[in-house]
Amino acid sequence: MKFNLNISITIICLIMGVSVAWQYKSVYNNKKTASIQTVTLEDLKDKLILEKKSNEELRTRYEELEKELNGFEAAKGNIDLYKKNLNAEIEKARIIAGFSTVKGSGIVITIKDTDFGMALQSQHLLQIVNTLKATEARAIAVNDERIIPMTEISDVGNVIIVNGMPIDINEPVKIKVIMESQKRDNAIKTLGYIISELREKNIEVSPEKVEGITIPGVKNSRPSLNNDLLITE
Amino acid sequence: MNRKDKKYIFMFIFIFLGVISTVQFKSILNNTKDKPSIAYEIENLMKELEAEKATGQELKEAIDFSMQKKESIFKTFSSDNDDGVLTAQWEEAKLYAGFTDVKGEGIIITLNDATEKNPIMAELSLLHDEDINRVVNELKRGGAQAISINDERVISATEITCAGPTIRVNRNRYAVPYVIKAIGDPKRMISIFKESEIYTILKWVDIRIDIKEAKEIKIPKYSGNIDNLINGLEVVDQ
Repeated sequence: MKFNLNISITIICLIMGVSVAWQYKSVYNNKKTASIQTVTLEDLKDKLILEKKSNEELRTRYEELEKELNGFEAAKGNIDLYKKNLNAEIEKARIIAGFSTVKGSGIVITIKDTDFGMALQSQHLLQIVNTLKATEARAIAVNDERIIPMTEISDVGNVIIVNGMPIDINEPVKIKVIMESQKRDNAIKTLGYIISELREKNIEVSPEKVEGITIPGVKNSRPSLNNDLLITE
Repeated sequence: MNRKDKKYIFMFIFIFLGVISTVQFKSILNNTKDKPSIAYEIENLMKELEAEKATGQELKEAIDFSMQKKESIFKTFSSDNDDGVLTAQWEEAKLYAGFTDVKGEGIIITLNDATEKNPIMAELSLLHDEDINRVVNELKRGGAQAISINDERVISATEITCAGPTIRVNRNRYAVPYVIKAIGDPKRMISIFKESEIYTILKWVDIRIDIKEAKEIKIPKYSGNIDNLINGLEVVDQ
């Protein structure tokens, strides 16, 4: 009896030991996989949503294009329609290139350097312009210098240069932006961080919503327009 | 301790053991049941994502094809009716706007986060939107005539902003490394970039910068929807 009892206790202890070890390991594993998996799962879901959204846009764009092409097909021989469409395409490209003078609602940002014109640097303007682009600005000009694809904003000594032209910082700098009117509040909010940062450096930045802003096209002589080194196929 | 006491003790131990082993068994069963379901879900999502990406690629190709068709319709029309004057104007405007594939001599700059975390501020070892923006600005200063970031053409509306650990360029997200291509005079762009403040800063915090000159760099045209860039605008005749 006593021998039997010892054996059974040994067996019970063995089972218990194994199961405790097993349990411990499985809990450990679970914790590990759970943390990895929730990250990738959320990440994947986000990516999928983005991808779906972009596909939706692509599809609408494709359908619009097809409709347009069918319109051409139907209007074969209608010279006026072709001319109108082609001219519209040219105008679109000219707007983005910065050649056309454009008008619309937007914001005028006045930047006043109260530190005798010593505090304002080109990178502050660069930051503001980039923020405006991120908040869907349609056209931007710094003191009526239109921002085009290859526009640089830099300093030479104490002078700020835009499109190769010096900006007079003794007068307040005016940045004009055209954007859809419902997007203006968001743009001003997004600029808030830069505005408060510049205020500490004695630079007063005041954005103001304006209807009917006119932004001139880029002047012909600007070096940012050079494209003699580009080869098209 | 008599025999009866011993029996009671054993009884309790066994009851306890029984409960524990049941709980244990059940929890393991649950776990093994759960695990494949999460893995399954991930696999499904991956497949779905792949499918969406493939659809996106197809749509892009279809759009490209339609655009070419549109272009050739216009070209035929223009050469039949006005000796190609209008299409020539169109091509010129597109070249300035960044809507044409271009190639030429230039440089390729590859930027990547530092290999080791900065001991003072970990943030400094990572690339930020402002760094990329300033590098691109230096290239423009150096006379670049066309620039792309990870093959996104830089046009007048191109934004470079942070989106979590990635940057957003032309509404698309990219992670490191950032490959910036620029067509222009290589010597001038390199010397202006290397003399710039941003180059010194990036070198100082051990950001990896690789600059290469290249004879023939290809820079693709802007791939987004042009119509989305002009709403809210009205052209003033002059």
